[in-house]
Amino acid sequence: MKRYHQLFLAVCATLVLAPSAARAQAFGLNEIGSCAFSRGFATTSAPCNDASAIFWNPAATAGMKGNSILVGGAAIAVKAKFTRDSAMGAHEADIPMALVPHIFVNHAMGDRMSVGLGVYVPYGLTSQWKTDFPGRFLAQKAAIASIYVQPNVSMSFKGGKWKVGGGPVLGHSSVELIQGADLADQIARVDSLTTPTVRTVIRFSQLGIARRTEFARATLEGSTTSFGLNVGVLGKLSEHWTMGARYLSSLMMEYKDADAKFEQQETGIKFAANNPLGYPAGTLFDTLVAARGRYCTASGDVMPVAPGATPGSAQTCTAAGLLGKQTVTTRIPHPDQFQVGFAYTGFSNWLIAVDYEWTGWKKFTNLPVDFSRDSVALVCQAAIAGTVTPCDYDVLDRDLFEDYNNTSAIRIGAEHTLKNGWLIRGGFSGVAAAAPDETVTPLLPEQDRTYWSIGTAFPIIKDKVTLDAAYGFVLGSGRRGRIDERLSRAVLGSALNSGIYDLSANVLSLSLKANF
Amino acid sequence: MSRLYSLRGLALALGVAGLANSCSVPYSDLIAPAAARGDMFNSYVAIGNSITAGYQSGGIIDSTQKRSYAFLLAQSMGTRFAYPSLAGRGCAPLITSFLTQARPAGTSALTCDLRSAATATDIMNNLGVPGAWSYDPNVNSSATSNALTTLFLGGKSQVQRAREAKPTFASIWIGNNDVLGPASTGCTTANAACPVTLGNITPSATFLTTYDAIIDSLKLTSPDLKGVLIGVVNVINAPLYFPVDSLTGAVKTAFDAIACGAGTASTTCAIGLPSAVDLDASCAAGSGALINAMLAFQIRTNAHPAFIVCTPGGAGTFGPLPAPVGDILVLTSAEQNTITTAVATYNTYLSTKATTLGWAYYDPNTQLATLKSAGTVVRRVPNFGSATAPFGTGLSLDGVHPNAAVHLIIANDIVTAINAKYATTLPVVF
Repeated sequence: MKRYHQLFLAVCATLVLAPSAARAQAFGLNEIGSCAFSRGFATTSAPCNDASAIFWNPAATAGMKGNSILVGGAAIAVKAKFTRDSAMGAHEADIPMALVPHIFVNHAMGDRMSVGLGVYVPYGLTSQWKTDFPGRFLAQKAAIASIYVQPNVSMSFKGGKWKVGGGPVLGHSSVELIQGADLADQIARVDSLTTPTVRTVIRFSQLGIARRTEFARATLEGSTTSFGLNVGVLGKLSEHWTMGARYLSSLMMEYKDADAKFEQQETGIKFAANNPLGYPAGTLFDTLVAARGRYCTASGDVMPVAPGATPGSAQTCTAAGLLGKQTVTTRIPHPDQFQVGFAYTGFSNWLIAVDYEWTGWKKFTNLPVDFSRDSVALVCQAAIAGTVTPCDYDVLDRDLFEDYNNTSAIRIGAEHTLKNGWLIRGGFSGVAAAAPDETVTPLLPEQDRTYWSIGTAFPIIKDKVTLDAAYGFVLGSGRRGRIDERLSRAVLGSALNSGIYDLSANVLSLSLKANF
Repeated sequence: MSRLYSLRGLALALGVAGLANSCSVPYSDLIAPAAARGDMFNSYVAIGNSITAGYQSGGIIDSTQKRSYAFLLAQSMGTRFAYPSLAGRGCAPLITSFLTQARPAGTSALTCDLRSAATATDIMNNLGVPGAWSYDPNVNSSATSNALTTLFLGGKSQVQRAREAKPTFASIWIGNNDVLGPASTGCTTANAACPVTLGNITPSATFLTTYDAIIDSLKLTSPDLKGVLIGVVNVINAPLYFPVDSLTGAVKTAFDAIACGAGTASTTCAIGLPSAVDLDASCAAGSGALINAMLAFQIRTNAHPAFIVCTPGGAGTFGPLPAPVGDILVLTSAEQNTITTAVATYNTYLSTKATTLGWAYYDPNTQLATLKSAGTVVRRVPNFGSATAPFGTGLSLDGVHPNAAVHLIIANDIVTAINAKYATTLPVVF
């Protein structure tokens, strides 16, 4: 017996110490079932005795008795802060508390087979900053919520020693992105150079407009669906040892024709006398027809009034503007997950489990944002002098470089059964960031995280109704990040990153389990 | 025993996990860079005019912007200092030859390559704008606004941009143009050639009010702001102005070579002595008049006849001359006194204001007078035969704006003033 103890400790230590670069997470959400959360998500080899196994190991539902239902959710309160270099101030995030639901049902069809259905959220994120946050031009709010619906079938073999299960996954994902538009990046003028057809672009930043001058705020909203599968296997290796593994396939979420709206923001820019644009002294940028006309959706529409200005006689749009109501298309891969683990029950009334989890975040290479009105039809200067090449300026389109890495995580959990039938649980999960140093942004200030969780389960009606409760604290390590766009992959994080993101979260999870 | 042992095992496993995780966290690189010389210098802003901006030799380019005393001061403080970097050849490119007033090939005084988009930033530290008067820092636009006002401030005032930086320390050097503008013409009477006259020198009461408003605006959002006030330069001591008494011998020959030499457009150079400028009797020794060195180029371009008259009104040996001859580009003793008095009044106020605020005060006139007295770094009389250093080794080719050498001297003088006031240890810069 003692030999097993030593073996188990050796396994734990090895798993924890070896992969110091263990990675996982990004916008992954693991708060699926209070039991699993309180056990540090180390549940593949010893799934919780409830229907959440449909996610954590689809095989484990085989052998469950009767009907089982699990309903609950996690309340996630995230605190984040960005501290700019050179004492330029700290900016607290403004993230609303997120409520992440889960519901699972399982029906046993005899002793060897079960069918069930799970609805859970394996990927989700809300990153929201105050409206004066200097990084709002990347994201003032970024929210993604992806709900997976998974029918499940499981069976056991060899007297219940081995179990397999799985089912298709229908994923529905919705995204929302609110970001500022920087006047400094916009085209102010197109000048002729050597010939009337060869032109050079002059942007407002070259005319002195400060970077991070928010002249418009964009709101992008869309949703989509995709399909995948989730499968698992569970085996009893000996009296006290079990092992399990699961695989959740990747789902590519293509958000086509999402809504894009732009709202004019007050810049307060008042042109000085003798300005390079030739405006009369005191001209307010916000009231210029050239500025307001950008928000026209179609010719003939009433031209928007500048923010803070008194509506005068109505002016009419003469053409659709670049920032009129339009559509946008983007794509976010939801990576595949593979998790394998071992559990040990050799200690009296104790269950101890260790899992390794791999996530295929490398698929998340870029985040394209393609607007339906993305260009100004002009002729721009070609690389070779004297050559005229048609091109557009892509003043709105973006292709954000993400370049995530595949990730690993180590998860350790324990559960102790008290004499009165209550369960107490504890868990730890150490994960490192999927994002490289160049992609620590307001959308997702990725960083190494540790999850510490505790929980309990107490029977409300013995063998019928149980309430699981868990509390967890998520602590980020802090990481240098950026608030400006990375325009080229040649630009490294050391040149881009201009401050430190700090992140922490408190999570409370409750699940109600009923067997009937 | 078994249960105790099992709990120990669990605790050890979790403890090892936490230790391993904490050891992998790279905390060491997570300290936001701050000012090296203390919190007082965490956010430094410089309000001012062309000298603060880094204007030299009738133009401004990125390399001269980085030689401004304000930039050097920030280096001493070890703090962030963003300036409105100009692209390419600058705006305008610098004069490369005093003798021809030429700029780099293919450029002119109207050439402007705009701001560098790559270095555009939101928080600016150097807010100095060439041409700014004392009333400019608090307004978006004024009669003296120019293209650089927009290029540097982007439609906001110096104070607005300064407040965005949440400053902890400010330097203010404004007011030079309040006397330089009028002094540069030397006119007492306005006309087409003299849009600005000595009558346009900012009244001291107005100067005080506008200056107070600048400081009040800054302290409104940064009540604990510290800083240094820098006195107004008595511009009559700039080597651009030289005593008419010295316009003899080799100096006169070199002056004539510019004004009436080969390529001159002057139609009057040969009226008196052939190919020479005639000095009126009113400019005789003892007149005390100062001549603006640019008069040589005015004559060369035929914007001014080849006569130097030191009596306002234009009457002289040669009979009545059209206005503003005798007025423009000449400072009589009385006019010099007007300027000196105005500067002295400004600086008395600034010194008192600095004391009231608990700020440092630096009067550059003492140092500039010392340099001029020595005559090398700042010449007493221009060397009209030099293309590259006519006003001394420390003055740029426009005769007004210091070059890198004098910016360095000024920066270190300010460092000394700050250290004395605040008991700080800002190092000298090199």
